[in-house]
Amino acid sequence: MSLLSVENVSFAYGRRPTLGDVSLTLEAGRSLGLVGESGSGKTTLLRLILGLERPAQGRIRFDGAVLETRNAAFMRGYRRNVQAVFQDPYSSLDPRQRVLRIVSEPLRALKIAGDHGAMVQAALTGTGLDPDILARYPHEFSGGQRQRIAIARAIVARPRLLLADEAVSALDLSTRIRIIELFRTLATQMTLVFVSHDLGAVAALCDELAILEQGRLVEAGATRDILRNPQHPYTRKLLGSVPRMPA
Amino acid sequence: MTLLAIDRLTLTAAGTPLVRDLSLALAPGERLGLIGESGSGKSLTALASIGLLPPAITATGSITLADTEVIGAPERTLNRLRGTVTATIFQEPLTALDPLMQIGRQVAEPLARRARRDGTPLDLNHEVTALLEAVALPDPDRIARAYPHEISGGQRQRVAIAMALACRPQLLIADEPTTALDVTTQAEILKLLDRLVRERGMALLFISHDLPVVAKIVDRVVVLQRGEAVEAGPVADIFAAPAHPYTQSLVAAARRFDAALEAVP
Repeated sequence: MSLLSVENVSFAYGRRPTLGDVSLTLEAGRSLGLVGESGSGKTTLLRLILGLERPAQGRIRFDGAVLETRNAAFMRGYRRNVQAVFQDPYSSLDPRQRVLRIVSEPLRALKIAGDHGAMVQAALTGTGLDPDILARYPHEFSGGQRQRIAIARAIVARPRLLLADEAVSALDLSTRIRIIELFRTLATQMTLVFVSHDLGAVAALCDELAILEQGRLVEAGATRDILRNPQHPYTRKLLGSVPRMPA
Repeated sequence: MTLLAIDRLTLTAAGTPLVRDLSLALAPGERLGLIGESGSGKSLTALASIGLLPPAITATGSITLADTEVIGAPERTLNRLRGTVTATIFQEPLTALDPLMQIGRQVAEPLARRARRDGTPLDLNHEVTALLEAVALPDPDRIARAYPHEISGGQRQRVAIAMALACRPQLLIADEPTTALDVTTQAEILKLLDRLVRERGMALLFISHDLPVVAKIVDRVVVLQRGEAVEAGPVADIFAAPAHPYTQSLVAAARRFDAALEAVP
């Protein structure tokens, strides 16, 4: 059984259709790259998977169970299993809170019992941060370190599925490489959906690729197969547009 | 002859040096890339070159643009240089355009200034259409009547390029002009810039953190790290055999993404 399945999902903001009849599945332990340009619907699909929006048609299943966004008890359990990291490490951390409080927030919100301090320290260590930074504030850290703090918060409750929305796009090249390395390590411990317009980052990280164009899924499959033999004209155009280093 | 000469430029804010002892030169028609990560001082260098530094930043050294010293020059002198000698396009075309003004009127403004300067009357409507056509905008008459929010990001960047070209500058400064754009749009804008710079014989100062993008459009590069030039030379040589450890790390990172895209394990 797939860990995540998106079944014939359509969605519209007002009258404007954003996603049309999208279906895909992801097995536990695999990593999926959702790729597309602005307006492709990739962030909307991620919001649907997070349960922040409800599909107009179709449904999303997690571990076999249909996502019930209006069922608070169901969603609490779901949040424990599914966490997200967003693009901007400057706006996603509350500047007035210390690292301990930021990273332990999901533990409090989800009423998870146990030694929160120890869990936070384990999450910080897991993202390559010094566990001694608990009393510090976000402004004391660089963009890459802040993104590690955001990732620590996302993994502190030990979710089974981690969603990342353009989580490396705002970072410099050398930081981007290191954060991708971190995601690669995390992908050995959990299932990962990595949304990005950056084909190079996705290619370096994900086992599988799904390519969206204007709300439609145009191609999906193993990353290696799609890169070597893209079938859809849009996929070929996208791959052809990525600038490469001179030989 | 040198169009832009930066000599031992140091930029300081509250005692902290942001750019240190930077020297570079650009001849007419030459294309130079300034590469660096955030905080490396590349955009500040561009702003200093056109005399647009924030008041809190002090510049020492020398910047000459078409034989005129920029550092310490009065605003009147600088205004004469901007437009005639140099024009700049920035990363975010939405903030570069006035949201309340139709595209045609925005493009007409620098054209009218040029006409006044040269003392030659211009058919503004005709010139606006010609410029919008030059940047390959479809249906230029419709675009001229549109407001910035009614066109796409790629089209807005084309409009910003049209406005930069309106004054027929000798030097085009492009500060991360494709960073905010989608990858297919980026490819089109790079092609457009390459053609326009070639056809109009402009020099190009291209600022970017993206190595493959820089390699597509310039001949020479200067690599900046924390305000200091660590390496400079022809782009093909530097990307093939980077000498400085910082450049080596950037080139290795860029090549890893390339290898991943080639599905090379």
